[in-house]
Amino acid sequence: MTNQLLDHSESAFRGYLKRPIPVAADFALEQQVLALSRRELEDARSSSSLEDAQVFNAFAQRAAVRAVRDSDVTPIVAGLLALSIGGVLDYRENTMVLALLAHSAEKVGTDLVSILRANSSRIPTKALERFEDVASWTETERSIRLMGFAESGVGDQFVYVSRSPWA
Amino acid sequence: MSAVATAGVGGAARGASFTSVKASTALVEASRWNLANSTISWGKTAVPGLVNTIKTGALERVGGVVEAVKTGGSSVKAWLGGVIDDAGNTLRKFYLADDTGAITIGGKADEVRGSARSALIPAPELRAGAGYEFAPPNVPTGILNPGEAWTPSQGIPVIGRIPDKAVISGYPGFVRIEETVRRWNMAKNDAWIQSIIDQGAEVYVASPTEGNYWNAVRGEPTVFAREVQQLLQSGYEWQGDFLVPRR
Repeated sequence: MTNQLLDHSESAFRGYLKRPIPVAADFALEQQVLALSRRELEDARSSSSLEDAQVFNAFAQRAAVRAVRDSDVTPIVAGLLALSIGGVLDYRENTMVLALLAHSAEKVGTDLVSILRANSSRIPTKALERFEDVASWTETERSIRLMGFAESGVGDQFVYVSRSPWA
Repeated sequence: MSAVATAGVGGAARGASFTSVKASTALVEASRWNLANSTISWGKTAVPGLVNTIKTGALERVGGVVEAVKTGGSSVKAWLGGVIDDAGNTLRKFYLADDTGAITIGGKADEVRGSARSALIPAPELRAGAGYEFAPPNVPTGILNPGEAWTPSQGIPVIGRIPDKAVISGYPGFVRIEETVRRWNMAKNDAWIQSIIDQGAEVYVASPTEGNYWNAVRGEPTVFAREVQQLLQSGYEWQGDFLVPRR
């Protein structure tokens, strides 16, 4: 399944996270992820490689940025679905991005719990349980600062940047 | 920035070696690094140690482009780089970076031949990893909740990427961060490692270093690399698959 989602040509996604936002791949992946059924997401999760998971992880972080720029919850949903595919990745790396999606949800006037509730039938069960757990943490525990991020820029320049949690 | 550096060489070679460095302008720099005819470790010891921040422009090409030859004969272009600390000093470290500027910390090539096909190349901006900050020394551990800090009674602490650590899940005598630290965040990760350092414990490394230090899609070190870096900067040394405090 993921082979159908991703262009596996060499280096196609090298440095994807750091590319300007948006790029065409953001929208292409978003459309494809949003079109998948829960069953297809579960299939993709079980067949995804580490490289696939890294791409979906980066896509989700970029989606968190786009959501704020466009004041749109759709990229957050797509980001959650993408993270649900990338279960093979070290869960810590997905937790960091999940915190960004939660932060973006609040910036666009909603919250992660509401988004999960509205999309619970779409997200694979195992991933949903993980997301709901993180959503139940205190704001401090899942703050982007403690995850190693900070906001930078406004409007179309808004982005999340790496920042030491000890800065 | 200075293009002069002296290589730190040692540790487990894992089959990576410079088998030759052809005569060229770049050889001057390569010789300063004592690369010619040396066996180079760029496995576990190749973390750009001793720096807490990879800054834009902190890397520069020295020694010219080399050809990194993989098993099977395919090759990639790579260049030798130095790590510049916050004060502008070139540290006694080296690594190879590919032609996109991404650091190859773990060694994508099985064999490296220093063919040194060009003279010194102007320092590029470090496109990948710019701005990333490793854990500083002696981070506070107070962010950990009761019972989350490592203690000897829990067993030998294990680090690595989570999927690799799963192979020792439930194995007696070992403990992973996810077994004691609830509601993980990066600050807690740093603090958990610090609690190990504070007690001078030996650490078992479950993941191979190759391919696990660098997330090429994010262009950043992995959490695992952050852990290794934190231990190395605190005086830990490699001893097989363990990181142990320097005695």
